[in-house]
Amino acid sequence: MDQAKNFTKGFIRENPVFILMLGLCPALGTTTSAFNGMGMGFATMFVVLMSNIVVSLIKNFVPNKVRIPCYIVIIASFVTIVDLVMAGFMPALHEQLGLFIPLIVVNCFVLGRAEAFASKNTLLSSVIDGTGMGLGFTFALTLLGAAREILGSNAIFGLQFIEGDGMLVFILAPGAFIALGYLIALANKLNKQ
Amino acid sequence: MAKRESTFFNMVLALLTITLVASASLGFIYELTKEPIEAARAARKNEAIRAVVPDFDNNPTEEQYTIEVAGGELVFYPAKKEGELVGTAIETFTHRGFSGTIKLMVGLLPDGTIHGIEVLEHKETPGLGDKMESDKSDFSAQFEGEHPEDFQLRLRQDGGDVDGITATTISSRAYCEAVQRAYDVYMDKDADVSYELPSREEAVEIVLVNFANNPLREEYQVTAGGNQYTVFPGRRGRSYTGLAVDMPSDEGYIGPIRLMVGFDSEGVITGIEVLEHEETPGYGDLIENARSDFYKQFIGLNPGEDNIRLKEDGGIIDNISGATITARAYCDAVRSAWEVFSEAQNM
Repeated sequence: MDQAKNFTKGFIRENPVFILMLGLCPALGTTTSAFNGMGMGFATMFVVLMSNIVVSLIKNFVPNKVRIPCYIVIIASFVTIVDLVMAGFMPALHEQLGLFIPLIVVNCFVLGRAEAFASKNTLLSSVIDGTGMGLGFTFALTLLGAAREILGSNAIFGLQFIEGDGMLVFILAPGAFIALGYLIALANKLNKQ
Repeated sequence: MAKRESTFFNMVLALLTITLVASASLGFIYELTKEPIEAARAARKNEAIRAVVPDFDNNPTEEQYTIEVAGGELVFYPAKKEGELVGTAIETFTHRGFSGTIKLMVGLLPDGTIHGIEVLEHKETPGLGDKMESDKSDFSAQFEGEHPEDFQLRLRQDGGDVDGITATTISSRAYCEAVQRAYDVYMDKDADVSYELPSREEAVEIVLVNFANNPLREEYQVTAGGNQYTVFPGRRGRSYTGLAVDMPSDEGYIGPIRLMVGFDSEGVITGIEVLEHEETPGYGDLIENARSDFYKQFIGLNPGEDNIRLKEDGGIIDNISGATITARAYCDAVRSAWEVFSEAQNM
């Protein structure tokens, strides 16, 4: 397997948000600003990477019929770890993302990587896949967050560049769908070339 | 290693191992992060308290007290400098936010003037409702230095004096409601305290131990120091087991304090109940048995042998911080009650 390709596929070609359309719940919910999107992205990336490693290590130990419950337990454990560590050491970010961290458990994208990739591939490939896909997810969420923040509050990473309120709709839920729609269109266009 | 077959044993083994490892590592992480999480929480609260009240040198979280109101509870953090109350930080709430409950820390000066407000918790829309946070807009600044008596805590469009946040009427309205609630409860603390002191009859039965008679039926008057006091003797069979003394004192900080003090036949204190007082909520009212353990240090002491005075007066009783006069009056009343007890023994 071409590991370079394996690593880069997450950014555009198989981007979890724009192409695979997985993990849209946190992608829409947390991306009110670029920073929040990035925080959520990195939290998810940690979970994907760790669960990919463990799943890949134990893939032969786990019988086929109980593999999904096993993966869920592993993912849920890592999510709880992220939740606790964040609450302890990054309370400000935890407050912002609070509700969405536990939701990483039911993010199909994480289970998807475990089931579709890590359970069938070597440890190295799984690490690269987890990192690449995690970065792709972070990239997508940061992009979406940035787009919404620029349009909605005239700011980027909290830095105001035009005085006053932006188009408030982009901060609200409908704006998340609109922004995501345009970004998906863009990603598809890039993919076709 | 080849993939394991899905036999019953293999499945149980896999699930058991994974859940065991998972729970062990979670327990470990929990222990590891427990302290930082608590610290972060306390730090946020202290920061909010510091931001809303004037300079203080006590530890307000140690002296906090809670008042229950409809829909929740308010937590009061008294801020003191050199023992003097300089302000009170009040953790208040509203359920009328755009997306649920909002928690605020409102700092009031002793006369009720708003000194500062910080948002503790909210789920309002980022970019809109979250502008009520003090670092995101100067919405909260307009409350500072205002007294709710002549500053109507309602939005301008509702006939009040508060400039709402654009496009965030519901959050702004909820914010005002939470501040109003803190102010109302603060100014009317006594009315909101639902705890009731025991009646005289109940108190007699609490402070006396080891009796089989009905002390209330055998009440009689004892004269001590020129005043008449009502006492209730406890008996078991023919033997005398103790005496409850109804002891008024007019030496409280605000008004009279009335205690029911129980002694055994040797003069050792078996129980004390506060029957009446008008002391300051949050300070002097800590003499109530339900509010602090102050009374417990008296039980087992014999005022004939032990020096029932505050430590700063040369005695052995720990003061109530911020309520010296009340605590002193309480000790005096306990000593007077013992005088009545020994008078009754001599009769």
